[in-house]
Amino acid sequence: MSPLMFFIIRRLIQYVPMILVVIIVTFLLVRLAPGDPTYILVGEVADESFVKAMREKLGLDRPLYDQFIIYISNVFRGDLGYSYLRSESVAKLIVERIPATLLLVLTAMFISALVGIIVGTIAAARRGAVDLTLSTLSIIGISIPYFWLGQIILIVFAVWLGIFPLGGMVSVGYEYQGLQYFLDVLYHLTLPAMTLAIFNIAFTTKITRGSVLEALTQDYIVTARAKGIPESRVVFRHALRNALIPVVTYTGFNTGVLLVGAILTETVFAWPGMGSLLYDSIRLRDYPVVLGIFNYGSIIVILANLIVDVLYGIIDPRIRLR
Amino acid sequence: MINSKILEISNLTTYYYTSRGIVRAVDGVTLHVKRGESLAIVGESGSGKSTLAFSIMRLLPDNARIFNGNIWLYPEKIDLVRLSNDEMRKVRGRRIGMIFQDPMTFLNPVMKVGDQIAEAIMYHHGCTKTEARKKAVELLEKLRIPDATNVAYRYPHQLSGGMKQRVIIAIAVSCNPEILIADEPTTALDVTVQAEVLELLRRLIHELGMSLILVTHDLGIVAEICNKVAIMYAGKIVEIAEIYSLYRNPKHPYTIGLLNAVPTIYKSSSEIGGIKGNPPDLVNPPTGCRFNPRCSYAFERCVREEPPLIEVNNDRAVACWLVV
Amino acid sequence: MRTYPLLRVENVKKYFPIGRALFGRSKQYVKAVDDVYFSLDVGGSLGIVGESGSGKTTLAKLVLRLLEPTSGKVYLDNIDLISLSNKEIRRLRPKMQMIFQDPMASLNPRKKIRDIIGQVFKIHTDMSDVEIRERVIDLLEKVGLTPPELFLDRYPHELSGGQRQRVCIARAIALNPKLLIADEPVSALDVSVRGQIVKLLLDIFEKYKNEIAYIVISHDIALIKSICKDALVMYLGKVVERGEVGKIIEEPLHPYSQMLISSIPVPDPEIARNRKRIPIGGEIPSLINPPKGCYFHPRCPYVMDRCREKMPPLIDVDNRLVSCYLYSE
Repeated sequence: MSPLMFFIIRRLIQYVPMILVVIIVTFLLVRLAPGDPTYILVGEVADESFVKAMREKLGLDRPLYDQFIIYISNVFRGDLGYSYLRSESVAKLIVERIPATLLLVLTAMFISALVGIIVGTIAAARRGAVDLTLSTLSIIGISIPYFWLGQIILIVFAVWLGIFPLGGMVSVGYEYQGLQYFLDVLYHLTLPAMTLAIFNIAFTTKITRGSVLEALTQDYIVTARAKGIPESRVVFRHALRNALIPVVTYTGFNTGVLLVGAILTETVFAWPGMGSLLYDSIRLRDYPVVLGIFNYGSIIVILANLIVDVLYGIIDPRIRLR
Repeated sequence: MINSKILEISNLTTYYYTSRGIVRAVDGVTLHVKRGESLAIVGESGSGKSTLAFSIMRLLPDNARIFNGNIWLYPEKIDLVRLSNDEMRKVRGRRIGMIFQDPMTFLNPVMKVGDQIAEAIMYHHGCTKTEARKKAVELLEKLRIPDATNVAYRYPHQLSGGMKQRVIIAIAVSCNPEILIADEPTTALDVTVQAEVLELLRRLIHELGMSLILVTHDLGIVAEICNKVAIMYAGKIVEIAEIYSLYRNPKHPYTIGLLNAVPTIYKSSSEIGGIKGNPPDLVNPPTGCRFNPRCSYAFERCVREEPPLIEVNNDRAVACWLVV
Repeated sequence: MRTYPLLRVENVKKYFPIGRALFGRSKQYVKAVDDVYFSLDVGGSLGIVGESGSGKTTLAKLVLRLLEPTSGKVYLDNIDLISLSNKEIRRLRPKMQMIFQDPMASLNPRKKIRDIIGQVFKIHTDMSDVEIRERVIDLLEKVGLTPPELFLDRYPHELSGGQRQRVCIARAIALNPKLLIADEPVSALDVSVRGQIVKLLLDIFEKYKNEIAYIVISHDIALIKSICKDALVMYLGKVVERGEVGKIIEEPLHPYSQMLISSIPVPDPEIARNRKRIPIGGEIPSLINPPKGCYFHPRCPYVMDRCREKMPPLIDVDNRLVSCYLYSE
């Protein structure tokens, strides 16, 4: 078994307890909150007898331990409960929305990583006016509240200029197929992805810049320059390769931040993903859905961190080849 | 021409700009290196020897500047100080190579060592990656690294200190430079490994016909491979001599003190000498001869006036009022 | 008058477990120090010579009980150091001191010199501040930092390398130690300053020769020759040769000692270029899987079959101990 495989498996094993913790916390949140958990899961229903019947059905009158067993077995079967508000199983509601969120978040992450790393490296390599401008821009980018930014972008590009759609994932009333469908989605994806990305670009730029600056002070850069190779290669092949490690770490951590950002961004742009579902469910007090999203969201973040760890091993040979 | 000049440093001055003031690290240094010659630049910390080496390569840190002087590279007599960054890049690696003190930090940790060697070859000779890689392996073999083909695929942290230093040497000589600058190349190595690396260097410079500029504080290794020595103190050259003359008949008090301070296994007396006092402050160096506060023979002219570096005879120069 | 040696080190071993097999138990050991024994009388001086991986620094730490040995015993003044509790060892600390390689790293950068040295007295005695100040001044004079009043209120970064090392020495001898270990005491210093510190150490050893024994660790056997009478040559955690330094240099018996001596650069071009060189083979092997039998056999030009099988014991050759089959029978 290659050392890389070994490394991945070791990491996977370490993450299992984390996932368990998330599941347990979700479980406890509902049961330990003040008030009758039945109302949380069923809704604010007035009919006493209905509530009583539901309580029994959901097993909320049983001891905590029993409830936990039921809960765990449900989770592993994929059953996250039932949304009485929407008359759908929670799992189904969420699963239909995941692709849209993933599309949005991954696109934003990809764009911001690419742009952020390149811009950050350039800022670090060419000090002076270029660096100052880019650094200032990135501070502005970090400071702007993204949901406000989203609304401004929507107003400017969709309402005033009319070059982008007002919202949603697909154009209403058309039934596109294949390539046209793809392009239509892309067209709708642009503004929300931009909104999410801007914040992240700023952060990535800042981190990359700092990391590359530090790498450039290292001794091996002197060796590289002593070879007489072009400065661009020194910066990208030598400094950046080493500087990427903290940047990659940050990106993993950032998945969580992006998912949170997705909540309001999707809402602003009416993007049919997990984020807008969460927003609506909170508004409508549809707690089973809210809890379900917590679970799924946490697992996605954990998976992202796992991927980052693996990337770590790939980028830095010192970690995978002890 | 066998004994013609290949590098000539003329009145070189390099300053560092620090918060404490201007540090005159190299203050008016003049010397030359001939083809095939091995010159040692010997000094302790603060002597300016490393700064001198980095000045030649124009690899100084941001807060340092070559203030004055010329560095002529022959036969074209190009002044390295006046070259643009792009032109200097063509000189580095191709005409002058450099090896460094700490092999651990001077190698890129995330790049295979074979690639680090091949890189220079690719850029200076314009060959393909495969060709360059092949040459890199040949070079490793030449440097007596066992199992060179496999070692080329390893990363620096997987190699021992001696092997890493050989990789650094391989990188420096990969494009057959005419001059090799070595900045304390064996200080971080064990004694037995040091002996091997020195032997290797000696063989290499002979085989490749390179001139060597060895920067060190260790008068022991100088005796092993160099034929000319320049002693530096507080940014100035205080003595230059051909190697046998220097050891048999040192003239500058600092040189004498240094030679006495090296513990040697062959000396019958086990006494180690020392030089009184402390290393000089380079922001405010002593007036007159910079060594005077520590010199047992100093007299009043030494404090008043700085002695120039005067040629005593062929290939021998001293900067001391005692020898004028 | 003592009838026993001041320091006795008996069959000391230090194995570090490494590696985490999937289920937590480690299968491999780094044998940093492997069965070392020696003794030192009052007034005695021992040098420990070795390269990286020889175990010399680990040995020093074991002698001072800064590390617990895997097995073996260390007796200081007939007291079994290993059996002492932490509290008892701490009380004994002023009697066994170490001077380290990097004087800057050994001194607290935030404390004044008077406090760095004064702290020793504060912790281990109940002298008054006035008395402590006097003692500190006395010590500073002893180590050549004069006028001492000038140095009391300085910080380490205001001193030169040599001066810092003098402060470390002052601190070490403050409470009259019985054992002093110097680990590469001058390696981090400029060449011209080394002689000063060596002279200082020799003066101190001479002055206290009825109370103290000292050990100097270095990779530089020439340095050891100028300070110590006897030396141990270590290789991969084992002692390969022991005897008078001068004799070891003049006529090294163990093939590793021979290789070591012939590798040392000599500041004399005549000798350097004309002397006989022992061909050097290979690299220092890994400590994790040392070779079977004699650790040096893969690099030894005189290797025999026996050498591959079993580690040679230390054989007495004319007041010298050598671990080599060349000298058996």
